[in-house]
Amino acid sequence: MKIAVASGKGGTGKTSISASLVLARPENLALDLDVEEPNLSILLGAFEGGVLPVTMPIARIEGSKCVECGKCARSCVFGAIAWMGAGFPVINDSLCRGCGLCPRVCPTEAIYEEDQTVGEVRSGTCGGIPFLEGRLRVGSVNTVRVIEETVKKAKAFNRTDWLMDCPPGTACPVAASLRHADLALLVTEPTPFGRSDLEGMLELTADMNIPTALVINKTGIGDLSLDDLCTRFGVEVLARYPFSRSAAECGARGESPFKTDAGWAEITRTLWSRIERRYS
Amino acid sequence: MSIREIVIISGKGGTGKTTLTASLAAVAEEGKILADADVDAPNLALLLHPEETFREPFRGMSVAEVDRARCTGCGVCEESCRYDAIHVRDGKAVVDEGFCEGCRVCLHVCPEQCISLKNFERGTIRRGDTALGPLWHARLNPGGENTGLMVALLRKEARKEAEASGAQLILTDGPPGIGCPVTSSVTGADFAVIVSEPSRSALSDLRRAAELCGILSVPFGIVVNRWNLSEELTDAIRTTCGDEGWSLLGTIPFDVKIAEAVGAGRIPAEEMGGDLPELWRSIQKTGRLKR
Repeated sequence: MKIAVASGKGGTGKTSISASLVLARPENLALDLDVEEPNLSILLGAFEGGVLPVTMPIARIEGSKCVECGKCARSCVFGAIAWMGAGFPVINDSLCRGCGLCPRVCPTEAIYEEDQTVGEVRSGTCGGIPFLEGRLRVGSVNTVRVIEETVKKAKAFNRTDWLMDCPPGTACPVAASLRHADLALLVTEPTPFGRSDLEGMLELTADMNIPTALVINKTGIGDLSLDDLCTRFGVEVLARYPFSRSAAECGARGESPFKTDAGWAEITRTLWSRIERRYS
Repeated sequence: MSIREIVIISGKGGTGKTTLTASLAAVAEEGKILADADVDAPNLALLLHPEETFREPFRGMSVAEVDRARCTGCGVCEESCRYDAIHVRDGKAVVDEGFCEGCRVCLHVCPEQCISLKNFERGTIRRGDTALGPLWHARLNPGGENTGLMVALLRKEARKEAEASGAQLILTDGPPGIGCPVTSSVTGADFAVIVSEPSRSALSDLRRAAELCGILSVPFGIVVNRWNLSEELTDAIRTTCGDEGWSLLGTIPFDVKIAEAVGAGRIPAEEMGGDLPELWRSIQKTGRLKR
């Protein structure tokens, strides 16, 4: 089974809970898809393996072949090609999304594509657990491209069980991660912010038709009821982790509370048995 | 007097951007406009309780649409799409609207010329009046593209209103991460406040957020929230700031009372005590020095 751990709101404990689930079932392939801020490896232990670049094509113009017709500039919906009505068009690298249209419309094949690095995939093991991580290059905005490349590499591992630590939010990066999931495990906290962002996530997983279950983290720090959302979307709460200062401090040091907090570990094991009973 | 735009970001999510933005708004005395640029998980309105005065659909880029009657299911579009947004299913091409960038490659390659572009509503832009000033906020439809474009539009509206009303300050609650919507929130702002917390994850994310501000040439400073959850890691952040030459603007303690106020939908300005006005003065001073 491929499980995606997502949340809507950031900082609800996606990574802590992902790490705990992986530590409890180390046969899972651990995937860090929060490529803008990948932190799963911090909680899993030392990384051993290799780094592969993620590239994306970007348009380039060969001046000697260009007939200065401006068709490329008129075709680009991203406004990445500037043309003043005469002379060579100029490509703005940071706006080019590598869609591949301008090489197709150019009548003289003056446009070619060059690979540009937008991030990397780390592939190997982390604390002995099979592990893959996408990492967006700072300054690039091609989050989804890095996520897709990471998933592509994961498929080559030939493992049936995945645990994906997903990005926050409810926009395209999280949708790109959820596309590969058999089960969405939504980690929320019982606060107004947690609830509001959970609602967006529940709409997304319902739209995408993905079986969904909830984990409520930091109970006690808020006590807002989420029961009506559970009823409306037909989802079940599989685990509740109480807020504990010691678990927070342990996570802050880069240690998983699964290893140091017996109560936390027990909740994680119960969570796994509920997942296995209901969804496999 | 020119308008100053300050954006609150964090790298790591959940470090307290929204709570800090609302609290700073409560202590900043100048006329201001507020904006929530975390368009796919917007929460500032939950503390500011705006009375809505304006609402408009956000269309963003158009998306591809297939004329199913004419589609032969040849799959040329699927092969050409760089965003994995069009697939042949049961003999017909189907567009995944959440992933389509509207780039027109499929229109260009389709031998039947049966693909066109259509308008696509990707969310809603709103304005509301609050006790602390007008709030511009938005909600992206779940799974949507174009967060960067939406943020750019929100900032434009906030600036327009600031110019018209004579407000001197725009305070923007930014998104987490370092991707599209963050780049769009920070580009061209006068100053960025990066909210961190004492954890190894937050420190790693802080480095990436600071690097992004550097690339975008936006001056920034750092706030450590919940500093007392780990004095050791707060010291590590302090040392990093010293080594890198980053400005440490101030710290905020972890206090259950702050969490309780937010839980009740209230700005925890009082609960933050004297640290808050001091932090605001530090932001103003550093922001001015670095301009």
